[in-house]
Formats: sequence, structure tokens, C-alpha cells
Amino acid sequence: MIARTSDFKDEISKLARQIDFKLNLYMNDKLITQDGKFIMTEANNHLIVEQLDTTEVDETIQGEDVYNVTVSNVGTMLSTMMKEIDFEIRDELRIGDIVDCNFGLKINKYSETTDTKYQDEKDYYKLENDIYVLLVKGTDYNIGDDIEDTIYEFTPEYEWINYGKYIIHTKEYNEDTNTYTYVSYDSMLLSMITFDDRSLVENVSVKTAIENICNKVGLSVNITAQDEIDLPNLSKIIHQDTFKDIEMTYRDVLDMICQCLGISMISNNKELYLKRFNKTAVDSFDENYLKDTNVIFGQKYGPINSVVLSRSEDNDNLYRKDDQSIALNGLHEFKIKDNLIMLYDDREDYINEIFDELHNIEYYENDFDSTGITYLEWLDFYNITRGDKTYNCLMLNDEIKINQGLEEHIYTEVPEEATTDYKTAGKTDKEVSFIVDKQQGEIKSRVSQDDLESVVEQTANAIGLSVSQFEDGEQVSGATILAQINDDSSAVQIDADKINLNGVITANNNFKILNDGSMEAKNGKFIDGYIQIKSDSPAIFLNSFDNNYETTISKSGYSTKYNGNNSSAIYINANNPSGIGNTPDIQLYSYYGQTLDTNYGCSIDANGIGAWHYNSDGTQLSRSILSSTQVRSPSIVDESREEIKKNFEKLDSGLNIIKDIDIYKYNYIHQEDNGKKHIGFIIGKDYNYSKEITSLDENNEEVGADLYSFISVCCKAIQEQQEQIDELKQRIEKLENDSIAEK
Amino acid sequence: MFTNKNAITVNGVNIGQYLVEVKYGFNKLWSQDSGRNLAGRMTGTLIGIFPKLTLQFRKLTKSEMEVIAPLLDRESQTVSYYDPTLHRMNTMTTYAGDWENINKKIISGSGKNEGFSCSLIAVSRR
Repeated sequence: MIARTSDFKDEISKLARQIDFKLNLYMNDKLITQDGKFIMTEANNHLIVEQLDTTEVDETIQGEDVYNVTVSNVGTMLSTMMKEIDFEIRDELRIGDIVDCNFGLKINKYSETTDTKYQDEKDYYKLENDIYVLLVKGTDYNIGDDIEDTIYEFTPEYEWINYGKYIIHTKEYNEDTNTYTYVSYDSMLLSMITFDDRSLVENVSVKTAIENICNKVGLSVNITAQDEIDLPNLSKIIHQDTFKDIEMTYRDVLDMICQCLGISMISNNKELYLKRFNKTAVDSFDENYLKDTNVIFGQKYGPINSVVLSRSEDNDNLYRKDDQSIALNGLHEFKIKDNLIMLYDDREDYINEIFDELHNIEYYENDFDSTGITYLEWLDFYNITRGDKTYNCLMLNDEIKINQGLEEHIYTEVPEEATTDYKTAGKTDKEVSFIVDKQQGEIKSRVSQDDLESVVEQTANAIGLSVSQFEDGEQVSGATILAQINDDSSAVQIDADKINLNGVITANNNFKILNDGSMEAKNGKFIDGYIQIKSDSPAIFLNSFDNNYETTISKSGYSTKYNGNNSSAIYINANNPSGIGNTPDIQLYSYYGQTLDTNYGCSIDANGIGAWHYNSDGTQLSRSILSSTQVRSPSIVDESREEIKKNFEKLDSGLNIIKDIDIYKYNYIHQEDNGKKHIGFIIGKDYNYSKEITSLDENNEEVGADLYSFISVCCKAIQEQQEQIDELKQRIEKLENDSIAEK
Repeated sequence: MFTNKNAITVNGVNIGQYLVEVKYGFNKLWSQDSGRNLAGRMTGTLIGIFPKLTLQFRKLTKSEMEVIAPLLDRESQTVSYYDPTLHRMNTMTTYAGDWENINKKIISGSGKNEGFSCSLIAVSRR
């Protein structure tokens, strides 16, 4: 409450009071404006601070030259409050000019008379009801004595309320009245510059943060040693990165500090004041101060018996409450939501002081027009009495309108009462906490019990899970992290000794592991030991780790390539031109580069093995056939090179080998009896053949003719016969010559 | 009223000699906030007391009229008078009310007009 004399308090509610408003102007011609508008910048702040220090008044406007004035003190609990004064005058001022605002009330004070005949002879004494009597000095009056006269010797004099210096923020020209209307704010306006230096308020105590902010914006603050005793939260340290990546003003930071301390802040001239709740009424007012219209007193709020710190909307609440008061008065809760400073798990260190500051605050909701009180201050508790009823009130919103007359509109609303679910809230964050840090872009939840603690940390690029065990507050090594999903954006990794996934497991809704143990993929299935590809799926591709080898299994065939080169590939296809099937059973072709060359190939079918060579015009150049009954080829070559042979031994006689062989004509058993007969020797005990020219099977059983040996024996036999023929020819020639000679 | 009409000056001209009577009015002007409070008691702001001098002029000659008329026709006057409340001479800025006189010999220009009255009203509260 602004200190006022009893005369002022008496006069303000009387009939025929006389008022005045005085503006002392401090012109500021240095301020930086943009398009005629004043901007709260650091540079302008310095210029305003300079001007606030100025004591030399440039001009004073008052009385009839001040047309309208509205003094507004509007705010909420646990915040800063910026006072506003709007006024209308004829003079044109500049944005940023400083104006010192004063409200005056004419007080008819008693004073010494100026009439010289009374000087040194008379004296005045005040009786009841402001009646003054004139007595003769030195006279000893007794009760019942006549007095000389009754004097109403009032000397008019204005008693002034100084509202402090205000900064003109905006102005409007009123064309109709040729006047200007100005909006001005107190020095709290200085704090409404962009918050751009976190170092001022992070890793420092709350007290230092306040002092740093004041120093930054040009305010001064005097935090006394008693303040530090009364407000223990002043010594709390504000965490690093509390205000990272947020856009706000320094006043916003002060608002959060207000909540931490359970107080409010106002400024006057350049001084910032920490304003605690003084729960005692500063004054009482009766019906004489109320207008006869718009007088509303609503429900009673409080006493506040619970304080809740809330994070992330209504979740994760921390509370202090007075159960006795709740039982007696019902629950009256004051909730502080998402305060950045108290976002961390040490917020329970703050709540006790906040609770102490707010505990038992109670007031009536009110909305009334007063004939004018003018000297109540923001956050003052006061009483309004009407009849037998007394309403204790808290001044939160006050609008004083001063023109030719005086009206004051006072209203205080009840905060929106929240009801916390105390079953899910706690007295401490030590067991369960859930932090939504919007500035850091992080959600952290923690649950602890006994010596175990689990933590889930979620950021934009990672989800971290950990379960830890503690002993005496220290994390036990080796038994710490049981599960973790890492923050590597290239992969998700789960580290655990065992992973149990229960129920149907679905990945991207395309892949499932079912309860029956089968596995389904949208484009195929692995079920009952089979791999099935979807009917319209092209193939299964198998690649080596180095991608050099590629195997394709499609529903129509199989292929394997090396380095993607078809020339080194194997293709088996159910359809022509290669594959395994009925027509032909197997055909093998070669690739020439990336092109399939069907001019060369071989086949395996029921008739045997064939190999062919076609000309490009389709005519057959050669063909070899190996069937169950014959081998057919343009040429059959028996390898006879020295390097593949050993144990050489000259054959002495071929005739001796073949001379006893019986040559037969015969049919093979698989032939018809009238089929063309083959010619050759017969391997059998009843037939004459030579073991020198037979072939043995893997059991050393004679099974056929060794044709190359047989031909070679015949060659030898022919050589022997040729020798015999030559010998015989010589003998014949000799005999013929002898005969001629004899003749 | 314990005042002396000869003490009245308008724009420095002592006009007491032209007057036969002065009516001193001290009119109270109330603000719109005036009314009864919730207790039923009248309350309100007194904007101020605005003195009003109603001057009754005697019959004036042409030359006298030429002194008085310009004073009354100006948009404002500086008037000094003795204020019994203040116990001293008070100076105020006034505006003049409508005034009119009757001159029955206007053509000849001789003689005097009839007496007339005019009000001087303070523009500011006392």
C-alpha cells in the first residue's frame, strides 16, 4: 500500500473532493525509431535508462491540460507485473519520452492563520470530527468554558501519489479533440527485449540470474541478506541448457523465476522489487468506497493448501499439500505448469518454499467499481466490509480512471482451479519421473525401486533404454545396461543376452512372425519347410557378400552368374532354348559374350547324348550321338600320344593272335531277328577269341572288343603276311629265274 | 458581499466606474462520477468553483461604450476582483456572456444608451 496520510484517506471518499494529475516530462530525443515506431532494443534500453536517471524536468503538464488518465495495474500471481498509464493531453510527445506520473488529492489541512491579529496569541486545537477551535494562548481552559470562536481554517493543499516514471510506448492523435493519447509503461518494459544470452541465467544461482538480467536490461535490484534467508530458492542453481533454443524475452525468464520463488516482481523507476505475499490486510474499506453499481463479490478462493508442479500437461505431477487444511476447507490447489527451471528432477527442492509462500492464501473473487481508493498497491490484501460481512480481497487488477472525476475498477478473479490426480502424482521425483523437455527435444522417463533404476530417453534420432543397478548410490559395473537401442541412424541395434518377442510380430505390416512359428512375408512365405514365392514374383535372388556371384531361382528356371557375366553363367530353364524337361530333356548351349549361341550345343534325352554344330543358315555341319546302342560321330579318335602312354613293348606277332579267332555274323539281342547283322568275334567260353583285343569292365570282366588294339593286331598281322608274301614272291621269282636258266 | 466593485479590472481597465451593480457567483461544477455510494451517501469529485461576475452597467456614453465594448467582445478577458474566500485580489481568465444594449439615439449619436448587463465567467476553476 502506498503510504498515505489519514487526511488523504478521509478526503478521497468525501463529497466534493478535488483531484489533479500531474505529468513531469523528461524528453528523450536520442531514441531509435523505425517507421516512427519505437522498438525495444538493447540500444534503446540504454538510452531509456539514461533518461530515467535524469532529474531535470523539461515540462510539467497538469490540471485542465490533462484530459484523461487511466492507471492500470493488471497481473497474475507469481509473475512480473508491468504497470501502464494511458493519458490524453494536447501536447505532442515522442515515443520513448519519460513521464513522471502523479495523482493529487486536495486536502484541506489545518494551518496557521495568516491573520496577524491571532499570531502569538491564539492556538488551534483539533477536536473530534475535524473541528478546530481557536484558543487564546496562555489561557487555562476548563471544561464548560466558552471559547472564542469555532474556526474552520483549512488551507487547501494537494497531497500527491507518485506512480513513478513511465516510458511512452505508443501514441495516437485524436483528430476530433486535437489531442494525443499516450500509452506508457513502467520500467518493466526494459525487460521485454529478446533473451539472447543464456550464460546470464544458466549454471548460476537464481539470485545471480536475477541480478544478471537486471544488469543486462538496465534495472537495478537489491536482494538483501534477509531476502536470501526468507527465499531459500534464491540459492538454487539453474541448470545448463535450461533455456536452449527458446524464443522469449528477459521478462519471460523473470516470470519463471517468480514461480520458482513463489513471489512476484514489480518495478518502480529503475528498481526491480521482489514482492512477497503479505497475507495481512493493509486496510479496510466500507460501503463509502463502493459505487452503488457493479459490486460483485463471488466465491472464496483458498486457503491454498496444495501446490503442484506439473510437467508435460497434467502428467508427472509433484505436490506438497496440507491434508488437515484440505479436510477442513476442501482442496484448493495452485498448479505451476511446465516451468523450464523446474523441469528437472531437482524440482522437489523448489516446491517447499513455493508451498510456504502460497500456503493459506485466501481471498474473495471480486469485481467492483470504487469511488476511488487510489493508494492500494498490486498484491495488497485488504478488506471490504458491507454490513456484517467482511470480504478479504487480493489486489490483482486495478484500473483507475481519472478525468474530471475519479473511478476505480477493481477485480480479482479466482485462478482456474485444477484437480490433480494425486494417485498418479508424487511427493518426490526419486521413484518415478517423466520429463518432457520441449526445448531440448527430449523425453525422459525414469522409474526406480530399491537399488534398480530404468530409464527411457527419447530424442529425434534415438531411443535409449537402460536398466541399472545401484549400490550406495553408485552404479554397479558389469550389471548395468541390460538393453539398449543405439542412436546410430544407419541401423537399429538391440544389445541383450536374450530377446523375447511374444505374440504376433509384425514389421512394416509386410513381414510377420506368427504364433504357430511360421513366418510370412508379403511377397513370399517360408512355411512348413518350404520357401514359396508369390505367384507374380519374378524370382529369388541369391547374392554373394561381395556381389560377384549371383544366383537366380525363378519359377521357370535357375541361373548362376559370376560378375554379372552371362558367359560364365549356368542356366537351367524349363522352356526353350535351355532347361530340363521333355522336349528336349536337356539342352546345353554356350554364350558368346552376352549372347546365347544356339549353333553349338548338346542335349541329353532318352535316346542318349547328342552334340551338334549348325551353320548360321540352319544347315547341320556335324553331329555326334551317344545312344544306348551306338556311338555315332564324324570321327572317333583314340588318343595315342606318347605322353599319355607307358610300359612300351613291341608286339611280336599279330597273326598268332587273330589266326585262331572265329569271326561270326550276329544280331544284338535288342535287335529284331531280321535286323542287319553285325560281324565280329564273340566273347564266350564256347567261342574262339583273343584276350589281347578285348576290353575289361571295372570288374576286369571282358565285355567288348578293344577296337584300337584289334585294328593294331590286324595291322601287325598284315605286316607279317606282307613279309610272307614278299618272301614268297622272292621264292617264286627265284624259281622262275632258275627255271628259265635251266631251260 | 464584502467586495468593492471599484476593485474590478478587466484587461487592466478599472470598470468599477461604469457599474451600478456586480453579482458575484461562485458556481460549483461537479464531475460525472458524482452520485450516491453504496452507503447512500453523496460522493463525487468537485471539478472546481468557477467564479462568475455578472456586471450591471449604467447608462454609458458613446466614448464610454467604446471602452467597454471591446473588452466584452474579446474571446477572453483577464479579470481581477477581490475574492472573499481567498482574502485577496484574485485574477482569472474569463469568457464573456452575450450582452446587448439599447441605444435610442443611435442616429444622432448623442446621449447615452440604456444600462445593460454582461457575465464574465472564469474558464478555470478558482
